[in-house]
Amino acid sequence: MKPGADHHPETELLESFVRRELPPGVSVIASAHLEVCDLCRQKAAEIEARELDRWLAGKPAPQQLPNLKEIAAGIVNEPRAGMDRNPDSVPDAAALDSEAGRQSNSLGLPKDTFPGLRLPRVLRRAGDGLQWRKLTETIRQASFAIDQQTRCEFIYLAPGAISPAHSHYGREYTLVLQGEFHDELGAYRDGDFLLRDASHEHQPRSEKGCLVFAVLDQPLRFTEGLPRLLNPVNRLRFRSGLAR
Amino acid sequence: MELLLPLRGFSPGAAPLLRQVLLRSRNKARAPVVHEEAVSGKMGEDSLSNEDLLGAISHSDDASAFTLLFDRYASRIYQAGMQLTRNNEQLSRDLVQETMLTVWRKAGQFDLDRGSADNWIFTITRNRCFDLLRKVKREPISIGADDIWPMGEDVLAQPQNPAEQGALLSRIGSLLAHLPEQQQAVVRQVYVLDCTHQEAARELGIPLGTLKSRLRLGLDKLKHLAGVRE
Repeated sequence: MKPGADHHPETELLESFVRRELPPGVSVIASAHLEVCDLCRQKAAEIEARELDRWLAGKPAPQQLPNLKEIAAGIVNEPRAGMDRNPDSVPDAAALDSEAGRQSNSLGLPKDTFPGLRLPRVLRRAGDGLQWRKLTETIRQASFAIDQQTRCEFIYLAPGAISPAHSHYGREYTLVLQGEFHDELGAYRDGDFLLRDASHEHQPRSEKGCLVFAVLDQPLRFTEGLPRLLNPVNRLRFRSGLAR
Repeated sequence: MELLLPLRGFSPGAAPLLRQVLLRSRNKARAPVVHEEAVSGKMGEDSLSNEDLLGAISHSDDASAFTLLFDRYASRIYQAGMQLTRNNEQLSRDLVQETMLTVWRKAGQFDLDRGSADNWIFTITRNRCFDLLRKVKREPISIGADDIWPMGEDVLAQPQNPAEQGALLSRIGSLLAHLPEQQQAVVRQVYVLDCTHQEAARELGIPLGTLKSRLRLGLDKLKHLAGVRE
């Protein structure tokens, strides 16, 4: 990743995303960016088309194939759920409601922090039960994990916030959900995607405040530091100090 | 009457659902091309497209259409499984099972407007495989592959052309104005302002059940106005 000139995932990352090769956490942040970026969605669609062609072109050698017939016989005995019985109907109220239940758009931040915040759909499920922690007076963080290789975090920088300078062990993928921030390498706003790795030391600042979603791909490298990581302030120190 | 508000204020997320509501009339014309005897009878099996077979499964639970489709895809799915699982035969068999079960159950959600049957089934294959591998690692699947790679769903396939989208939204906007005021209010809260049902009910000061029934009525009416027949 060339520092600075990014704002979008690189082509290789999109390819890995389309092929389902990335860890779940990284896949989520890529998906969230695609949802808000026509350009990358278009690129991904082209990659997808090539993948499909490859799949269709690959002719399996028959002698390598097991007999799969009995699987088909088992499936047709399964009830056809009936949920799509009438494909012309709109989703029923219950379906709409469970959808809506996931569309919590405030993430548990004070209501008017980001009026009109619209989370990418893939992140809306993540909003339930988030625990926000104060890292500094102006920075809050809520983190969770959906797999063993990554750590996902929402980070809120209040207007005027200056993050302590830090570098990362491993890579940190960041998507700006709303607002703006800048660091030594560039300025980022709604929908921008960036990648920082161990070679970048940076100090994000935000004049007007911002909310980002970030995914770290080697979050718990220092297992002996684990107990201290559970303390949010130490965790920040961990990221800014030890992680060199 | 705030006629202009819905035109301008539609959140991008609202468009796909409303689009789905309004475009059904067009899809309907092409959906069930297959009659049962065409599939179970001797003639023309090979000439039936994969899309036709999905239509037959969706509309009449057609087991023979499913079996045909299974024969056309199972080995490819198995092969993809072998690649994605590094030659794990059992997982690859499971993948055929899970993928084709999804095809059987969700055939009605296949939408030709959003891609071919190949495309749809390939997506299901890789999504099921992704979740299958996570299950093996005992990872919680709180955000599933179908959330990350929607199955040819709206998010990744919104109309690219802004003019088309604009025209659609303004059509919906003008239809919305014909709804009774109470129904307009709930549709606006949920689809324009993107509130949850709970938030919308609170905002409007009505019980949740009332909100849902008004929403339902409102969407039905919208479909009716758009010329969509049930």
